[in-house]
Amino acid sequence: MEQDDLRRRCQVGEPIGLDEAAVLAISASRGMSLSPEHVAGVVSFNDALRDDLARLRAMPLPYTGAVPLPSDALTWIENGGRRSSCADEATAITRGLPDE
Amino acid sequence: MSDLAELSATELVSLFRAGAATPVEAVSACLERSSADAATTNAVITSCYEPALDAAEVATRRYRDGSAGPLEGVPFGVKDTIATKGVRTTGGSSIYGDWIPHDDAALIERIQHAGGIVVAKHSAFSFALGDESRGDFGATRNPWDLDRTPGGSSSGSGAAVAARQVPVSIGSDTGGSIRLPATWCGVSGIKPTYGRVPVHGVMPLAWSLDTAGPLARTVEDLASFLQVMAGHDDRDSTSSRRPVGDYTGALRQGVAGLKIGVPQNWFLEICDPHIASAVEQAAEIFAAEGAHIVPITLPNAHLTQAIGWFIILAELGSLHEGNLERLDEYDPGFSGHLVNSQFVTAQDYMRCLRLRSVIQADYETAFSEVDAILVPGNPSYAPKLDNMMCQVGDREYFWLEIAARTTFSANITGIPALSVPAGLGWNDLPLGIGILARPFDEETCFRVGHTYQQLTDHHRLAPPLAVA
Repeated sequence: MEQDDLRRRCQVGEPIGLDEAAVLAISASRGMSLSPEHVAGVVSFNDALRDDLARLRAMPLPYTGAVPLPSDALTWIENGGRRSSCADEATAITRGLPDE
Repeated sequence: MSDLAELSATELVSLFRAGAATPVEAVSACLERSSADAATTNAVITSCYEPALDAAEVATRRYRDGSAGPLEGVPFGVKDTIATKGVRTTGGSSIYGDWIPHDDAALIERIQHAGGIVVAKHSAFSFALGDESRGDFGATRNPWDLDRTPGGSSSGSGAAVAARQVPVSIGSDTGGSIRLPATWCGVSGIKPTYGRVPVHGVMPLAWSLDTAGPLARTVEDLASFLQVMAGHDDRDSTSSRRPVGDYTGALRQGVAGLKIGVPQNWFLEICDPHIASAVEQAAEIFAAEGAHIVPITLPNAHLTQAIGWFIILAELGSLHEGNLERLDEYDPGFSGHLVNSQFVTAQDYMRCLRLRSVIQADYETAFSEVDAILVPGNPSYAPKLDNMMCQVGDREYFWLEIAARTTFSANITGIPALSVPAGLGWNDLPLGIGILARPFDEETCFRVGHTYQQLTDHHRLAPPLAVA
């Protein structure tokens, strides 16, 4: 049952909280030894940003057509704040707006 | 003659040119002001006393022989995350406590070539994000109230400029680290467009967002310094080849005919009422000068804090991963961020980088209607060092929850953002307004900010410490 719930949350992009055990397991897998304060800090940080992360993960990012890429941000800046037509299409999809 | 440490860089240059004062006198005045720093603001990590006086002698001769540069003899400070040749550059941490760079950062080369004189390396939250009160060099204190932080991460720069130790100090801004201390210390600061000022020689925090720029008491000084700092450098792959604007010329243009947007969402939703009023009053001032005030909406502004934080954490985690085994040597604040960085997934980091375009699209829409956007400098005031809690109305927030609320969007989009002081709040602490413009349109920021300072005296307010 827990496994099913985990799978569902992963599928819908719902953030999965990091509890103390998960933080310790992940850090151990990387050879990191964390103090109790650091472990508590990670748990607290992830709790604090959980809703924000959920909102970010809920934003659609298309795989086909015009795909928004990290480099688009640099192009926009260098263009003085104007998108290319390709980026226009990608952003419209990401924002859930009709294609321009 | 006024105490030279009280004067702006522009005023000093005028006096030097007129033969009414010399760089030796001005540098000496600033060094004298800094001499009591350790007992007050603790803004100075390293004083450049002797080399500064030597350079001032040279500058004084240049005025005599007619070879003075545009900033000749102007004393300035530098955030200690920015490399200075032959002067230790600690990053605000004992980890780099003995590092003496062989070369100046590109922007320092340019300011010195124009005649500027480094008088002090100013404190910073370690590596531009570390602990505000438990850093390796002790807490930097706000000259308006020594129990409070100046804000950061360019903490020493903000405190020293406000305390009249220097007219200008160079900081860096990845999520608000120039604008936050500028606002909380009652001085001005500009975060330039991403890529406008080369960051070669500036310790990186997050390469996708990092910028460097000046803090000063006047917009006029910001323009003079940015004029010599901006432009491409081959050693910085992120620096732009676009031509540099006429920043000092823009100061004379006024705001008549400009369309200035005021966001109706996000920026004022959590904001101290006095600060919100200052934004309204500024809009009225600009309207009276012939600007058109336009309400705007930035629909995805609520995403900016999370996008900014995840990008910063992912990139600082990469930059500092070679030191993970030295976690205990970082101060508690930075080590906490470094540990958190290890739990940011690659997918979330890439998602945040890709979502920058969504925030930029909101601003592109806004800038199709307006030339500039007026926002609060910060939603609250400098918090006390012993708890770092910011009060907004009857609620308190831990400073990291809201400090970047009004600043992150400019880093995520890459646009220029100016902070100028806008008076004192109900608690006699400084507050400010922010002015945003299109990428590479620093001229508009300066037009609006300089107009504001021509019509108000907020930038002339001095903290009790500086007056004493």
